[in-house]
Amino acid sequence: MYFPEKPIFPGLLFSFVMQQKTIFMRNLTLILTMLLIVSGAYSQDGVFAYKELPSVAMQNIKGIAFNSTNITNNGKPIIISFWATWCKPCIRELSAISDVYDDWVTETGVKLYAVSIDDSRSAPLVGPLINGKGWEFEVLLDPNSDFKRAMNVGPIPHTFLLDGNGKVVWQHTSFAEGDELHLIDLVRQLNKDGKLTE
Amino acid sequence: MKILYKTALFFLFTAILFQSCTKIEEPYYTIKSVYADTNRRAVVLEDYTGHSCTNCPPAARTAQNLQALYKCQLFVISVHAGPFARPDSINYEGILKEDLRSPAGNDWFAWQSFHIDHNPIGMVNRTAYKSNISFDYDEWAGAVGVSAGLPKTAIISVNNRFDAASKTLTTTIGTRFLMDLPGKINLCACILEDSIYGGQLNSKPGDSIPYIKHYLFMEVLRGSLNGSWGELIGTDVTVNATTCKSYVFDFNNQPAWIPKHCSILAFIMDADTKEIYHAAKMEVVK
Amino acid sequence: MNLLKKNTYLFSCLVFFLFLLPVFLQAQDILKGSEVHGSMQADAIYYLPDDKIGITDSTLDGKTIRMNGFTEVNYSLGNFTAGLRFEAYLPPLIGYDAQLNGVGVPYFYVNYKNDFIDVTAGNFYEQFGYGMMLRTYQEWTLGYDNSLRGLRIKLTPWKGITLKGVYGVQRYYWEPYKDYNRGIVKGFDADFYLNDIFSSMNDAKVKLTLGGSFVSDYQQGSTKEVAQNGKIYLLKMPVNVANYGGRFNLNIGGFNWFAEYAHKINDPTAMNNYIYKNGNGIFTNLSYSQKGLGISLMSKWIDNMGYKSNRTITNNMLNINYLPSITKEHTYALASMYSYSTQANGEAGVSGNVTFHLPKNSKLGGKTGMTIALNFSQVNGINKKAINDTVPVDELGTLGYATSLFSVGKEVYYQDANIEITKKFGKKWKGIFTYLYQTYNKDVIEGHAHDYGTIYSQIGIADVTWKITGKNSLRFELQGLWTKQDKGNWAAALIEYTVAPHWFISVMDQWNYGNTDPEQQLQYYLLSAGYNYNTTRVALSWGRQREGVICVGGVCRYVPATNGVTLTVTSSF
Repeated sequence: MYFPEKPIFPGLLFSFVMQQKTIFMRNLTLILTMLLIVSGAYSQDGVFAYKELPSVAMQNIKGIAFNSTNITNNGKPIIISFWATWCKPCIRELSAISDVYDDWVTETGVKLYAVSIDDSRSAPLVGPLINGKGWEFEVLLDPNSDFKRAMNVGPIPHTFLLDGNGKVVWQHTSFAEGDELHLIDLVRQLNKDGKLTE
Repeated sequence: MKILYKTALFFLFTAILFQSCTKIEEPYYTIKSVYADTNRRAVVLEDYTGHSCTNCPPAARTAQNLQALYKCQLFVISVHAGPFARPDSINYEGILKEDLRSPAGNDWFAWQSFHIDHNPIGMVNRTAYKSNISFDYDEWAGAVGVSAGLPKTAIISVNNRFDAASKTLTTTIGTRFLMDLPGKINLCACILEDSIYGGQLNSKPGDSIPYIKHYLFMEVLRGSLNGSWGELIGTDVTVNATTCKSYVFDFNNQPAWIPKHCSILAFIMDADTKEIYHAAKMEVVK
Repeated sequence: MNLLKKNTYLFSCLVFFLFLLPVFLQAQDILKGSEVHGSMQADAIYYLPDDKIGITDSTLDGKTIRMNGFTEVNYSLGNFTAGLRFEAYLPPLIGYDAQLNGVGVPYFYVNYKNDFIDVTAGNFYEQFGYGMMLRTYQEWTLGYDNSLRGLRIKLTPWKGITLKGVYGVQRYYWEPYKDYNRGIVKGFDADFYLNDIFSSMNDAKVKLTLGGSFVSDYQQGSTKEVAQNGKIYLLKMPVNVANYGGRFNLNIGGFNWFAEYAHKINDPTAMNNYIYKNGNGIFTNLSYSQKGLGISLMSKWIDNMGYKSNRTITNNMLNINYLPSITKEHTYALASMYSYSTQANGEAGVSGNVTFHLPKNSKLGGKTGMTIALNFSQVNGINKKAINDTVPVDELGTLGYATSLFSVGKEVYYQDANIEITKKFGKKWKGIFTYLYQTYNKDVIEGHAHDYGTIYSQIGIADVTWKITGKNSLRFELQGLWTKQDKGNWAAALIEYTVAPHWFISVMDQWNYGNTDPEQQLQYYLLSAGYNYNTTRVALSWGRQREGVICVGGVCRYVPATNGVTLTVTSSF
């Protein structure tokens, strides 16, 4: 049962924001309000969890239709990572994972889907890039950001971890060297306990 | 059954697209004959511009084009206001250091219901054309054409007496209404100055240079003699009602303004909706 | 006051979705299975005056604090989804269109989806094929949003066939649609994946997809008056402008060949000086991939393909289609200083890419291997010939010019040759080394005429990361740009320290040391720091931003130089 930790009177709050006399106060209160909304909703339980992925049409690297409902891994954990050829931190994240991907798969059976949001301009460069770098994961193309929007992804990189039932149990934006160690730890936890104990 | 249903929907889509191609054959245009008719309403075209506005020279050319065609039925006011009219003495070799703004222009620019939110943009008699009160210069020809066909609302006469020794101007503006007009009517008397040279940024392809050091500014609004929104001259006026107003202006207060380049533009407008009903213009020095 | 009431109401709906609704939902069995998701972003800048870059208190005009922000909430239950986005520009950041000023809900929708049909009412984003006929999308960092508001229906009547139909009007800042102030866009797209349709082809090695689209834009007004050359032209206007074409994608093993053709009928607009010529666009991409090697070759032909739902506007709004640049998008500061943007009125381009991996312990690859990426692209104008002796090219009210397919013009608009080497040095160091040679025709690309010429520049970049411990790493970037034109040489350096998974801090400086005017040899320094917790990120930066052009795809936004403190907050759930 979800209990709203921060009861708020929406109309009053907005009026409070708009009545601020200086632009500074108005913008500050608007940011705080939005953060409050979002933090109040932050949790992977109840209505805020993705119990299964939304159904969105994408393409695989050969240009053939691939629906998001086909993102499966025989009951094993799945990692979905949103990236683009022009996003340097995304390339760093996927390169770091690529170095250890074989080990990850052997140990945990995890599967990584790298969803590229490159649009028509840079989508032709996706193939050469992944083959040139020798990445082994499955790459999907989302040229008009339909799946990105459906998953409410903002700035990239944005990574999701799904358990064996296809439910999203963890998500994270931005990348720092060493983040991949944390990610594989979570996958190991999923395999062992079937859920995360964060 | 399901296949039939699916096929029906398929054809529904294509049906939407019937008649979706309009091919135009030669000749692609005709030239519109323009008659400047002083027995019809005068038109005031306000061109909101600024010397840092790189897209403004083509708009100014359009206004000049229309002025040449409509002659004494059209009056152009070049209003320098907003962020692109700010003086800038640092960049572009300092050619933008002139300040061509005026208190009246600033007030008109800031008037919310005019929606002046970019440059260049203009208004024709401050009435809506295609649902917009202010619109881009490609629409000015059409809007002026519509307004110039409307009936004449009044006769305005502007009499200027300029004393060269004291550099004082006395202007007398008489108005005789030719029809009943509801609401409050204001008379606004503005000073416009021609032949001002200054810097102008210019970036439209096809134009010759990126910034023009000695650009000729015409019909620049220098100020209003009786306030940004003018002075009340009548309420619910009837046919043949007359008014007469006189104003005095000392050019010594504005030494940068050259009297023989200046004119007085007088126009009557609705004090609430700001719609302009008629206008007349006369040079300060004959 | 009415606007405030309306926005209060809409904002309340948003908060209601998040707090009161979940409580209500969990208690009702029928509404069990509901999901609520959303995202937000706020960028706020406190601008500071800076005499050296020409910003004084009067330029700031009292509006020293500006903010762009949005919050989006989506609700789903079974096959239904609904959502809305609240946006606020109070006022918009410098570099964003002033007409965005205000708050409101410009995006909302209701959607029903099952295996056979997908219906959306409200705002939606859609792309047909490569995008030369229709693409509506949103790019928050660009301030670009041309969403269609109306109806979209997608059908999959048989496996391998997808049919889409759209009908609506596009977003134009906050302007409500009334009295035909913009065009009504109608479109239809069909996509056939032959290997799924014909059972004989199910397992064939040759995979073939065919597609076709038809888009039409209705704008009221069969005549238009345009004042030019001392006359008023009464031009005949086509009320329905159609843009249609086809595409195919052929895949055989490692080879892939994609091509799309679009044809637009007469579309006289302010963008092309009201000429009646048809438009043609072709894009093709041939690529080959195998493990360790990827090659792609692209070519593009654009002839009068600008397509908007309002004839008179010349800014970046109301584009119905999408004409991306064929050149590679660069992210390093100096490499993206001279970026290309598509010339919709006519351009022809080619681009080639080869990426390959030299394995570990090979002769050139060294102990840890090396990845090399080569890229070359060039864009020229198209050959425009006068239609007869008396009418000059691009003359208003005529056919404009004549050209034939692939008759490439002599004028070079842009050229970019670059090589990027990625290499690891042991377990703790890795580096990306890039060299670029660029040719940038400033007059054509930025819309001047014959006064800035072409800029030739060489750029070198070293981007090295040192993994100090498992969670701490330090990244260095050193960049140099060498040119004899425009502002002269530049140098840039960056140091970034990150502590996984939460913190980062960085210092960056761009220095125009080669400027011929000593007063203008400015340094653009920037100090940033940020904190990241799962999907929430807060970043604060202070310093000078160089003037520039931000381009995403083929759409660019000019950003003037600024100095200030920036706060960026993003989150999603």
